[in-house]
Amino acid sequence: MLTPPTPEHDDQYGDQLKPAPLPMAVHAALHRIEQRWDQLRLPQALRARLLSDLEADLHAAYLDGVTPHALLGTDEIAFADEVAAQLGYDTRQPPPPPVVWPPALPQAIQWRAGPLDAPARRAHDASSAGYGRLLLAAGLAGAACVLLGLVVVFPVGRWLYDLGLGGAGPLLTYAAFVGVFTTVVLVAVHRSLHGLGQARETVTRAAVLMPCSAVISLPLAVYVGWVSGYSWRPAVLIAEIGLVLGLAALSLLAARSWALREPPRPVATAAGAR
Amino acid sequence: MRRMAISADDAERRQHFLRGTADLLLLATIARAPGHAYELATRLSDVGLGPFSYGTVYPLIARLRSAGLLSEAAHPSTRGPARKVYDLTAAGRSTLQRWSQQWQHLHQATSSYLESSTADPPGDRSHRDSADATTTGSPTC
Repeated sequence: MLTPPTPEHDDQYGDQLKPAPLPMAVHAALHRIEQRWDQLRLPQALRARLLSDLEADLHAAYLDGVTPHALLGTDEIAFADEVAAQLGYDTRQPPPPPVVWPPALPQAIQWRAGPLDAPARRAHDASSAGYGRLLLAAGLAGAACVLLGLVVVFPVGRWLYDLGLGGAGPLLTYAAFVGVFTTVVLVAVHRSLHGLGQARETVTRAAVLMPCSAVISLPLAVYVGWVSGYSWRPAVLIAEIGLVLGLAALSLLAARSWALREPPRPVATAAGAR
Repeated sequence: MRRMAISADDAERRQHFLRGTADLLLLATIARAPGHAYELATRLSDVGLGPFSYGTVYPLIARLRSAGLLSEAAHPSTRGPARKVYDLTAAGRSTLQRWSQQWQHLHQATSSYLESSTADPPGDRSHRDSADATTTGSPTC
């Protein structure tokens, strides 16, 4: 959210007055406000504009020795609600729990099952986090890649083998397939989160977590195959595929949750463009 | 304790009054000189009508801007990110004029009514009440 001072900033501001680093409390406050506005369905462009205003004002106030709490009050949600109400948005929805998933899952369940909650609101909360869209997009992209891989990988590997590369041929083919598979899934995830915020952060974290999940799941799948004598029985195949895809899905969900808990990256403001 | 309770009540009443005129006061403040949100809150507080926090002023700015009454311009700062400086649009100026007239009318009407209500001595008022009761035929004790 807030742009920490950088060497470029220092050059811009000269030697006499350099902006001090902003405290994490500012980032956290703006993140909570942004989440609340997202929950209240303020359009992303409007949210970005309001947040850039807040960022500049909080920055200036901080340099004057005024803390975010002194400026906004101790209840950022109330401030966010007041702004939204003045803009004509319905602010009767209860605020979300501070952490969505997975550590605060019981709290989230309790919140969603509250008496004031409504099915539409629950649907909106799930959609604002984007878990469903993310999994659907990743699943479709992954399935398309697998189908393509079934047609392409084996013939290409065989062709490279015949070219004289030997065992390196199929290995290179599989490595290329894994790279294409990961890239396509990540692009699909990024596109599926368009308009929900933190898409780029989700993808960067997924790019780390997905290979980690493969490091765990692939040996496990191989172990299952070895224990079963490399059986082609449907139960064994489902267990092997389920292990790989299940852990990959978990890694995507974890990446999304991780990204949602991070402060949003700076919005495109005049300050950020400098 | 008694004095503190009355003072708190007065402050609450004052806040109640100000709440209805905060947007008018904000337009008037911007009409004197454009400014950014944090500065406008400070200037409004310095008027002496009561405390105006940023948390009160910024939502009003958001509404007035959304209504087309305020324009904004990014002013670069030597100390941090560029800040939005708000000014009145033509619609904002005419709205300020209209709301000011409404306020003047309301203020005059309210003042006249309050003066007439408090000007009558208690004796006269009880006499008038009993006379009204007699003319309307209400039972008297």
